[in-house]
Amino acid sequence: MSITLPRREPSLWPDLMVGLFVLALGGLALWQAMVIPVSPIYAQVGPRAVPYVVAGGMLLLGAGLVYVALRGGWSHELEEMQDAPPTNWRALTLLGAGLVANLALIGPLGFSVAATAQFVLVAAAFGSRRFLRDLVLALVLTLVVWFGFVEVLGVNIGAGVLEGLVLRALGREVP
Amino acid sequence: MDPIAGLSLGFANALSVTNLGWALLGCFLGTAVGVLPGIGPALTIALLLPITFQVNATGAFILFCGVFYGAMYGGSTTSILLNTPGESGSIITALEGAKMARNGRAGPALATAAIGSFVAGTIGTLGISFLGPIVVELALHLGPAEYFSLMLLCFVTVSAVLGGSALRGLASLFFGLLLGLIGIDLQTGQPRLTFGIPELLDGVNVVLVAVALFAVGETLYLAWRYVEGSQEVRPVGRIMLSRSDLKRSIGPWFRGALLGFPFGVLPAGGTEMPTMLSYYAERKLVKPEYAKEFGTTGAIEGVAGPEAANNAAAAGVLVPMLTLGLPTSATAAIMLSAFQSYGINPGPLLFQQQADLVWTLIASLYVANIMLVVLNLPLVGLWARILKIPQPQLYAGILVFATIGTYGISNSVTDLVLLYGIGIIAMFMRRFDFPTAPVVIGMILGPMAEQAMRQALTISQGDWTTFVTRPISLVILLLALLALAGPRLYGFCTRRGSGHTRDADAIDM
Repeated sequence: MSITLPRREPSLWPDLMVGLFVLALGGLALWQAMVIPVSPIYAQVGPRAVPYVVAGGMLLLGAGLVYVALRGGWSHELEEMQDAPPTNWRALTLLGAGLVANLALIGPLGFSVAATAQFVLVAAAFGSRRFLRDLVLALVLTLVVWFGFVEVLGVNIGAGVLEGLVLRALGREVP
Repeated sequence: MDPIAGLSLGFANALSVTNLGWALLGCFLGTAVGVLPGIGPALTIALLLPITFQVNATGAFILFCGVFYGAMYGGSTTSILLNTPGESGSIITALEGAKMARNGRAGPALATAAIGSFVAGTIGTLGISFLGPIVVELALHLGPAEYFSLMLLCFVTVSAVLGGSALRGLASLFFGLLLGLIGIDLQTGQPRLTFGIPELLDGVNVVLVAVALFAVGETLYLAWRYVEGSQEVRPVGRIMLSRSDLKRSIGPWFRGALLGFPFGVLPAGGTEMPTMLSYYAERKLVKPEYAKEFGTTGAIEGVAGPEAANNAAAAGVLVPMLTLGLPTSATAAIMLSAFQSYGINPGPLLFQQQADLVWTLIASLYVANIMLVVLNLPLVGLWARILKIPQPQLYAGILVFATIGTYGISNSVTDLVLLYGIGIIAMFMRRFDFPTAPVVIGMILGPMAEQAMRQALTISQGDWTTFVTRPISLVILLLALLALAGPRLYGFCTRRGSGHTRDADAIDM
């Protein structure tokens, strides 16, 4: 077997990891399918049958992806990857920080505060440098969205610190 | 009910002030999200789902369909003025449309896209009105076994036929099927794939998954590859068609519409294929004196045809959705889950039991088309201004909506963790070219397919051959097999025959 080396050997690892991830997902599904309690209720097809099929399919597809990855993978064929800019770690980190801030704050302080923190960080991730303008924009937007969802769509989202303040200022009861 | 009687009933309802209001709101929202890069109709309808608790079914579906149609109109504006297609269906429009805009002909490009969308939308809606009842007639003869086979066909076509690779498409589909399995099994009451987490007993919410795939994943991917710098929005210019523009557009409009609609109706619901075929057809059929405009200064035929095909295909998707309850696009899948939250099962019985709703909805589609052509022609300057929203604030805003849409489901931080987790998976799916629509379709259609399978096996008393001994079921299964294996066999044969033919007819972007 002759091996021809291209000038820039594309790494096999990224595609291989994807294949292994799909395999792992299939394994996880298989394990969960095996622990489904067998029902005392009679059924022509039990609750385990379809999960087994789906898990099996996932394992097969994962194996297929691993096979393709080992034979050179598919990433290098993707048009979008040809001239893709390098990973923007700054943007990803700030965006991640925005999501984490939202997770941490939404419970104790409520939607508007958490989403405002997230907005400012996400805007910064995409290169905004006008922190104060973003902050004001975010406060207005999140409050408008909160009132829109609660009053118009009737979604039940508890009032946090900011929403409570606005409701009290409007002379309304805080739920 | 025959189409004429149905439509007259439908128009009587659709023209009420409330329903006109829902249609206008939907069209307006739809055009806006169609114009904005990064958000589409599936995400918008998912975020609007809570409205189903407040508004009657008719109003809600008029709104949703307005959003659906509107997004198709809005998508072309972005393609032409920004050269970044927002939806897969407008990729082809961007080819010639952006070139026309670069040569100062954005106005005629926008006009032919909007009028073409109107022509195609109307033809498509006529198709729904007259084809729908016929499909219903046929569908009434189908039992659970046939339905199960039909769903398998649908799975194959949405995941394995379209897109870059059957392997990756099917992996997306199975990921969706897996998500759909989570929760209590309806037939036996057993918890499945819940990992012992009580929050998962109710299953994974479809809104959460749609938001994770279309908002969080998309934003993460954009951040990954983000390069600062603003995009140039081409000036709109005068919106008008000269007599020669009009003459050159009429043929492509009708051809595009007639090409697009059948593609939408077939469970291969996708807009890439018909728009691409329409583009090639127009390129072949163009008068010799204009042929050199293709790929250089931008040919109006190359905007008019694909844009019409895109809209007609989108209208066609509503036929299997309303008559069979089969969603063939992510947006249709979300609409199907809206039907479920009203306790309505789309399918052949819908036309009988909910005739009022169906015909009002169809009549509203005609109304929406008229509203949209008005919204998009004189007001196109307004939409062009939306394109100038700077990216940092746009993406930050999208995530605000993503958060409230998900947190509103049950005020649970667990849901947000799940949202971000699936969002990260979606980011990698985007990077490695896994399609996202099959995830949503698998998640919605999977449980329905399992139910149909169990019903069929209960009827046949556990005899699995029921799927191949019933002739219609067998034919559908063979079609599915053909759809799965056909393209690969064909590819294998041509590759042996003439080397790399695929690269030769790739479009030069």
